[in-house]
Amino acid sequence: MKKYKYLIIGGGIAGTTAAETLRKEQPEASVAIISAEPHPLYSRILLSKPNFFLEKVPFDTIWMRKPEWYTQQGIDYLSGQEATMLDATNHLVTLANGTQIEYEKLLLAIGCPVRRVSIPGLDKRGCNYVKTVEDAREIITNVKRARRAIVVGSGFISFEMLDMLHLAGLEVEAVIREKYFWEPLLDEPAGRIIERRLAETGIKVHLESEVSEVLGDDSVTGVVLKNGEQVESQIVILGVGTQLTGEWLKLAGLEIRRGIVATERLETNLADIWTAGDVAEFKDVILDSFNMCGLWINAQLQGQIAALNMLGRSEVYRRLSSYIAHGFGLNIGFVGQVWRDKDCEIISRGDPLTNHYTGIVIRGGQRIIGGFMMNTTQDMAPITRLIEAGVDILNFRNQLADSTIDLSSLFSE
Amino acid sequence: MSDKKITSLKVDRDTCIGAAPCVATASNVFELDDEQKAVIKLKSGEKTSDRVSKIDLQDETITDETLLAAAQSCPVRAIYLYDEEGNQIFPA
Repeated sequence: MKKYKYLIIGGGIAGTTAAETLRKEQPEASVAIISAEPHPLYSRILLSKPNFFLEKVPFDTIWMRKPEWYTQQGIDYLSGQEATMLDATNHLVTLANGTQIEYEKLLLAIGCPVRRVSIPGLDKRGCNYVKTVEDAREIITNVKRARRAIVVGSGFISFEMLDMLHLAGLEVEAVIREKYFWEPLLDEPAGRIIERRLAETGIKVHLESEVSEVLGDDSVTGVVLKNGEQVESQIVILGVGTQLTGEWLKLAGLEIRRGIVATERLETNLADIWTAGDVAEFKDVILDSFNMCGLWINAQLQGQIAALNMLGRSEVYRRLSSYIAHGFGLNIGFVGQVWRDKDCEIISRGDPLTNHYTGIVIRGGQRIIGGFMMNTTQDMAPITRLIEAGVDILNFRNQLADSTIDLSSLFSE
Repeated sequence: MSDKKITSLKVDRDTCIGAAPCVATASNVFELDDEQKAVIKLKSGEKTSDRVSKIDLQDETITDETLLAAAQSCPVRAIYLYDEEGNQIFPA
């Protein structure tokens, strides 16, 4: 049986960075990556970018490691292999082909699978989720022979896909289950800004709607909506979030909630097993809550931190997440925790009708934990600082809500 | 990396999404500005995404290896590196 000192499941940026870090720190140790995808590391970020889709940059831009890189680094790269069983007591991982691999330390950097929905006819040509380079290849091909497209969902992927399909010259309609775009991360006024821009661009948005059936023989020709309306379309793209089922991980005894639960040091509840990247539901020391984060840089830094801890160090993962979505002339920024439970409220800055609007998320009436910025990315740095400083906002609530006050002036002293 | 020396670099702002691995790799050279786009820090105190000479960087001791690593870490390939003849070294 093959045995590795360090075994990593997942060949994305988290797993690859971990392998690199382990190799650098312990040149003699055996390191292997098991990757379900039969490719070297590629930029999953690029998959949803219009420049890439519309072939303004060469397809090969996507590759971030050469196939020979793994061998050069002395990393065994078991690509196109899926791990299906984990025996944490005996330190064994079993692959789909029955191969068993023994490990001393294990990193689970498996990413978070896209949420799949069951709609009759969704297996037809022209229907795609957006997760892998194969999905991207199919969509690029399909876009060239399509006239009309449907995008299902109202999050990051669907927003970027709407933009890409529109730029490609297709007639596009959005089908959204929610009451407004990007619910519940944005608030309603912010969601309406996007909807107005979509409408101005000629994109029809079906709110509180769902696709109940996909029409066509082998290829999509249209969809039927929940209300019975039929819409012609040669493309259906779904971006309806992520969902970890992870039965094999639960069977192994791992604590799974939305993701694999981990400490601030990215240790799981099982000995000698760490997690990193999109799948990790880690203790966020800045926000003082458990958090998941589907961002490239977080995955990269978590891969590094997890690797250092696998080497016996005691490194805490500490980083406030932020990202920006671009499209339809909008820059939409997110920082920290934007989803809200009962304990949270939003302080609004600016008039949403001007399309410049910021929502600051407050927890427990006192503490800023996040924010979203509609064309107000200049608010991101100060909000980030206010979150990191953990300031009590009781005394300057009104200033936060006053968009004529520069947020960075609130801590200039 | 090839034997070509990096003499200038730039950030393509239209491509940059502020993912920030460049900042993680070379925080002496790159940071994000108000629009959350990467800018290059210069000796003069200026910050720009435009093409600049390596000798004008705030960090004069930055190695070609680090600059290349920063450019390679960019998931949207927004960092461009050039040699002394002005030929693009990266993205290759």
